[in-house]
Amino acid sequence: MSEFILAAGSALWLGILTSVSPCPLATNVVAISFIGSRVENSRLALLHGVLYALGRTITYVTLGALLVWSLLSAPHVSNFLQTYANKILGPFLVLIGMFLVGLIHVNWSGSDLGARVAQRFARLGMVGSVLLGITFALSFCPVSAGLFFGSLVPLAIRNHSGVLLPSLYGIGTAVPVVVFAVAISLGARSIGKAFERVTAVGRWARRVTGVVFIGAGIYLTLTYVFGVFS
Amino acid sequence: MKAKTIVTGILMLFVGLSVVYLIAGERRARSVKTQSRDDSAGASAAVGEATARSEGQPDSTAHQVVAFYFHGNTRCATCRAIEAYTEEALRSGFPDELQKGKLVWLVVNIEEPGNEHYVDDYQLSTRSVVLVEMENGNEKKWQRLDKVWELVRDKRAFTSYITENAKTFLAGA
Repeated sequence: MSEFILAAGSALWLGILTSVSPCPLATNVVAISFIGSRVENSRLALLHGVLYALGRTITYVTLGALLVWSLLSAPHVSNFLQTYANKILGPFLVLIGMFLVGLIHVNWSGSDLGARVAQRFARLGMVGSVLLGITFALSFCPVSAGLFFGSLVPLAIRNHSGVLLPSLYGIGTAVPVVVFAVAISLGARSIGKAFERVTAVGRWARRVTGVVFIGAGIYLTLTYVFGVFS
Repeated sequence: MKAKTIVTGILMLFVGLSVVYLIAGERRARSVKTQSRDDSAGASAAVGEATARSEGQPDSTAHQVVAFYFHGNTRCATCRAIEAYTEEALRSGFPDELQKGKLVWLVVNIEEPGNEHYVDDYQLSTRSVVLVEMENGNEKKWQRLDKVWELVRDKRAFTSYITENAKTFLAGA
């Protein structure tokens, strides 16, 4: 039993180690900004953080279970995801960012820009946070692949745990991001309160998030598609 | 409004170009892969061939250890640190063995044509350090050092992990 608790602690720690390593930084910044932009209601930020963690966990549990039950070959899945997920993610983030800041129009109504930006966020809402978690977890970089496929999966196989240990790992990868996001949301809210401009701060936070999506998307595309920073 | 249209145009162009570049790159990679499929040698042959190109004089006597660092086209900061720490650990721990060719240090890009077989040979999920023990030119055993990812933040622990494993392989245990 104590051995399993040790394994559970290791899984959580491996997750945290993954999220604080430099290579998933671009996607973490996007997630922090997306979750933390709910400035008007910090509880909502926390809820989105939990949904983001759920999304990541879904990916790791699915992969973990398939690998533990030997339905997939780790090297092939890992290399496939490292090669393609990051390549597709860049242009995809640019498009979502354009939608969020209002450069792409998708059948909106209302005249106030702030309201429109808020509306776009609402549309991407709860499902958006889960999808963000699923997608970002799939976009493996060398460090996350090393820790997931090289350390977590062998640990899960040794303990015959295709679900619980990958879940803890998923939660671990999301915890630092969620803590940061909620702290930022609380900080921005108190600044907004001090100046009695919470709604305006929220509006700006969401616009900045759209720009962060575009910036990170361009960075990922330049790195993985055009090989500029490699 | 005009600025908005220009920014939208530029970003759409960027997205469009990257999709075209991605598809073109994929087609190119596929045609190279088909060409190189017939040329790729087995793991042992590749180790032998690579050893011949290494800095040390290959030892004619039977026992030899090859330390590989496998990387891809995209290099990350942590990956470079792993490569550098491993090389440093081997050079400071086993200068004589490296000189005599009993230990060989090789850096291989698995995304280069002809090197893809290493992924299956050593079950490579990511950038990896692998030790291979050779006897009379044949591969006897290999081990992937997966803990490098956990230990890379602690250089001392990383160095002793590499050194201990290399020592075991060199002793032929």
